[in-house]
Amino acid sequence: MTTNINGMCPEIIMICGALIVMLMGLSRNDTVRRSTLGVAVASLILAFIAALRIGGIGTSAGWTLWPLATYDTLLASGVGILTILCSAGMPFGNEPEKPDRNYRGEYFALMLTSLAGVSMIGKTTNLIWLFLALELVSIPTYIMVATGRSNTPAQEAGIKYFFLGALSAAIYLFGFSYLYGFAGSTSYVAITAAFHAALATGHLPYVAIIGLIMVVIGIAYKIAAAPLHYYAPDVYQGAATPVTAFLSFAPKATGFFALIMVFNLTGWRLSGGTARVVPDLLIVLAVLTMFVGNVLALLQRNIKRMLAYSSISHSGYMLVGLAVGPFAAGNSPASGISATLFYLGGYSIMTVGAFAALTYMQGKSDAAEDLDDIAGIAGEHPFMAACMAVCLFSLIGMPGTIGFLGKLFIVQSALAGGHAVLAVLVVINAAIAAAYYLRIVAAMYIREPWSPFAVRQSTTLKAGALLGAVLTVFFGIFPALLFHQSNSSAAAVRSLVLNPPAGGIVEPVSRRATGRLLKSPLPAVAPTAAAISKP
Amino acid sequence: MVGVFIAHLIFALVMLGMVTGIIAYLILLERKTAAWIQDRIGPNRVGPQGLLQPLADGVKFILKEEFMPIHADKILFILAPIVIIAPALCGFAVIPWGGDLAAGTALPKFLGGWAFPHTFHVMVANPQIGVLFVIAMASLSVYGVVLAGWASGSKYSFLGGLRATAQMISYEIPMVLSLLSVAVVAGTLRLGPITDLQATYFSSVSFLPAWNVFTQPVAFLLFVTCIFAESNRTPFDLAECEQELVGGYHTEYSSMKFALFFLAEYSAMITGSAVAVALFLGGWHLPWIDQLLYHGAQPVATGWLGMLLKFVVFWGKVIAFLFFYMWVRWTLPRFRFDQLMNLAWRGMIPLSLATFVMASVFVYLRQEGIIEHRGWLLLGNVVLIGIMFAVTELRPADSGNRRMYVLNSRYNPIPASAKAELESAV
Amino acid sequence: MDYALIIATALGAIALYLLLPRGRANMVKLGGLASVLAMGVGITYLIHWTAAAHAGHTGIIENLFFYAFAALALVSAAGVVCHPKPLYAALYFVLMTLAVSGLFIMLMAEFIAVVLIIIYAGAILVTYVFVIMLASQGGQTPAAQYDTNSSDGFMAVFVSFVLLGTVLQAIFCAGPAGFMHSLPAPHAVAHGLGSLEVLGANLYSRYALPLELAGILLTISLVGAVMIARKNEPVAHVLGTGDLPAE
Repeated sequence: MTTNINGMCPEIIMICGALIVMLMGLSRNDTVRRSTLGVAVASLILAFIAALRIGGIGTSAGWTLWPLATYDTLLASGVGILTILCSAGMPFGNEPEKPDRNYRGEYFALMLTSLAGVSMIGKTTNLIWLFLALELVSIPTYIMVATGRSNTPAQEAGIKYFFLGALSAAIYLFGFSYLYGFAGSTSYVAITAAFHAALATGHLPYVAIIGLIMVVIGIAYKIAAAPLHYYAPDVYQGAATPVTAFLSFAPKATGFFALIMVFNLTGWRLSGGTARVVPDLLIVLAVLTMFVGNVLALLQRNIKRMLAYSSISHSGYMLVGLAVGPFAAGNSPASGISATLFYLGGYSIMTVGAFAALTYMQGKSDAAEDLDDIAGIAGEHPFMAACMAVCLFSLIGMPGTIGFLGKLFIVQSALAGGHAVLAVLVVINAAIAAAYYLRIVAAMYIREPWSPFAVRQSTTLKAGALLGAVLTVFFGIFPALLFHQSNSSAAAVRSLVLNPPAGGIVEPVSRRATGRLLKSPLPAVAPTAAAISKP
Repeated sequence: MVGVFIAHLIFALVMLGMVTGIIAYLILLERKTAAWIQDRIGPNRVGPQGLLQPLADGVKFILKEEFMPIHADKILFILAPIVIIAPALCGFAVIPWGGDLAAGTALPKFLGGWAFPHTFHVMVANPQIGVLFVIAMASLSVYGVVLAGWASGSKYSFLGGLRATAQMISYEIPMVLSLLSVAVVAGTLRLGPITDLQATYFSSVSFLPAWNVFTQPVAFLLFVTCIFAESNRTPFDLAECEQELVGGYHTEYSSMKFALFFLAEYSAMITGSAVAVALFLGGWHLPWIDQLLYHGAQPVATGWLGMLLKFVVFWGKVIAFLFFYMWVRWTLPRFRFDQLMNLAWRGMIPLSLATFVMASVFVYLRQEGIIEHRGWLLLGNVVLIGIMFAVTELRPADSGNRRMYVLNSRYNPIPASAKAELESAV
Repeated sequence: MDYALIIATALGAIALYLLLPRGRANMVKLGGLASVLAMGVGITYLIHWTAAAHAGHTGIIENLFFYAFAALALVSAAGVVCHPKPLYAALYFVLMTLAVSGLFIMLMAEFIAVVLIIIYAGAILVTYVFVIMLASQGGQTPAAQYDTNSSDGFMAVFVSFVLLGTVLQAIFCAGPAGFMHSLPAPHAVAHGLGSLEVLGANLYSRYALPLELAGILLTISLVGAVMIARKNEPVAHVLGTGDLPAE
């Protein structure tokens, strides 16, 4: 068994960064506390480099260090940098001059741990670990929502998000327990083997199906898929805008990676017999999510609510890719997983970019959320308006941006996978979505300003928005870098599914420790006195 | 198999009777101790030297009127004494009172001469989770206090219940950690083996028995402090301090229900002392004299006589420890509530964590074969205390531990300068 | 389709619905009757099922403790949901924890059983009780309206019992023989049946990373709890350890 702790290097860097940042945040010195942002960004950059460096180690056979895990880590640390740039000066509503009133350090620490959770999903090797990673993503976000700014809507959003999130965790944990009951082990290898054996007989036990459905439903909450989306607008609106940006990225990426990991266990072959309900459930979720998100977004005037519904609809597009699965059209690169992963990367960049620009425009009070509040802002702040517009165009799916390619791949894969109806529905929804995104652009560029703008002057924020916009265009024109990663991940998923790893359980274990612990287990009865203290 | 089961059952019943009997005399001992410390005579009217006083007390408790306040929640009011006494008595189950009876030890002829087929642990039960069982029972004992405080429907009881709950939850943490740092060194959670390991001497200092109190004194101090707090006795008896709260959570109780609270307090004391003796004070190990009797350390498994000796030694240590309890009660003044909480959260919990980490490091090094002698643990403890003092100096000044001003107080009035500000704030 | 199970589930749903607090129009007696019936049907079914699985051996005596603990757990779980007083509900939760830990002890999982008591009964629920005490002070105070009337009782009962029914059908649909056959050999049984040593060795070798992860998760939650609990506004320290100047 080849794996070792080195594979966890990026996550360890992030968590160490989080601990350092947390301690620095306790300092009475204002400069030290301000530099926590820099330390957080630096640790993410280190994690990114580490992920690139170790990316190639175990690509062949292992579960832990395969391209999907590398892609996950790269995404978490890369987009993580964007979200941290976006949260300069967080949390809002505090008094920086009073050390004990300000907990800047803790905020970034929470962010880093959450990102570590995101980047861990692709490396998990058993359900317990997967559950803990999902919780590691979620729990910091609850706290960030509640403490990101000190007003009542934020607290309400925090409570709402926490209770519903805990409920969803209960649901998928329940599902995991059924998968455990089905396979007799929480290890992925054992569960995969159990699914293979059961599917070979043509009859999947109901317990496994119920478990899968519960897992899908529970994780659907994390990605805000349609029947479980209703918390999203309230929470997105109530949270401080940088936190909203984080929410539109971290839980979503986690959810999709987790869904891919769980479906890997089933071998993506649930099309026969009663097991059909699971892929059908995905299709229903996808269609509902697209329509609910886009249609309800049309009705909004509050930009944050609008973007919340937009993020719901984007989950719908990605679910289409997931429903198509990894086998689209033989060996062609247009598999559903590849499209989903590409879309996930693109979506994260453009939506965080848009939120960064929005944070800048909202100003110190963090209250400007309505379309009227940013009417005509392009005249006074053309740079930020341009960044925002670029990200919005990409969210629409204009050619030349990453959003266009993402939608293109999704549609391609749906057509190749024989889901023509889904492809048509994606295109219809893209058209609907254009309407409300263009309303924001129109408000910025065409309308006259209502009142003077009080923007949040921050170089970091500007850098974040600019980075988002530039990357959106860059990957739109040169998609090869991102596409290579997503495609090799999808290929790895496919080869894993076709040749599931047999034999022992590959888990990151210090072999020395295992040998010692298991070879000479502690005696059942305590050792005699002489054995411990010298006679 | 049935024979062993019956032996355990008989032992359980014997211990139950013995403990409840001892509790009655503990109360007498407590009063005598108080009298001794305060230079009085104490109870001396009932029987010779007042020895029948417990009997008189019991009769009095039974004959007194049962009273229930009209605002009390009837079910919980009755339930509370039961809930408080049950876990207190359950804790005895895992105490190793007298080492082991060697396999083949037979009953006397007139009792049938039945012999134990295996080594018999002289305890009610010997689960692999021994220490955790003690902790679980200690953690359940909070409920009686909470319920009594709440159900009485009186503010004194209520405040007493609140204080007791907060205190017991807080002090449970260092208690558990100090117990675990002993368990981790012994490599087992069973109380019996942990005791057995102590029945020996240090190799280099051969007169010093290798008790855990000598290897891990910091853990011992923490544990003792915590069991004082857990049983709500001075200096931690804020939950029932007479000057402020009448009787605390049992203010409204009378007659036998009140007696049950007393019983629970004393049985918690006995459990605490027994655990302290078993885990830290060498259990049934009779130091030095065993050299004469056995020409070496006392063996774990013995016959009837050896078992009886161990039993007596164990109880002797427990009684001595109980006397220490009483001694402290009548000597030390009471803490203030915020000091109490500070002591737990800012002092004892970090220290107990450090102790636990140190014990774990010792276990690791022992497993690696680097060190073997348990004396290293003692050295570690000394170093730990040194570090503690060094760090305490570096800590920012504690603003909480100072004189508090109380509105309209004759002794601690609010300074005039602050009064105006205060009134405007109110 | 197992009609006995469906009947038991339906009876249980009716019982719970009737038992839910509904102000003055309580139907506790009827609900109690229905719950007794439901448990009766369920236990009878289980006994028959055991007999079918073990060639006519009903195992009532061996499983007496199981039935007792299971019934206690069910009754106290219903008590948690149905009792109009929050403190009683919390205490029923404690009782349920004890019953479930009894079930764990019967499975030789002593560690899990004791940890369940220490963590749930000893820590979490004590905190609940503490908070409930602070919120509703003492004795016979009239219960609040939201405590005496369950909101959306029908929907909650319906959804939960549909879920329960589905799960039960899924587990029992294979029939006694098929079920025993389909059970995977539990890995724990292979080496040392819930022994503390094996548990520890596994936890610190095979599951070392998840264990560390749980530690990080708890640390972060602790920090978050302190962050949320800390007030942002300066508090007027009236009689506390506050900003009053020293004498």
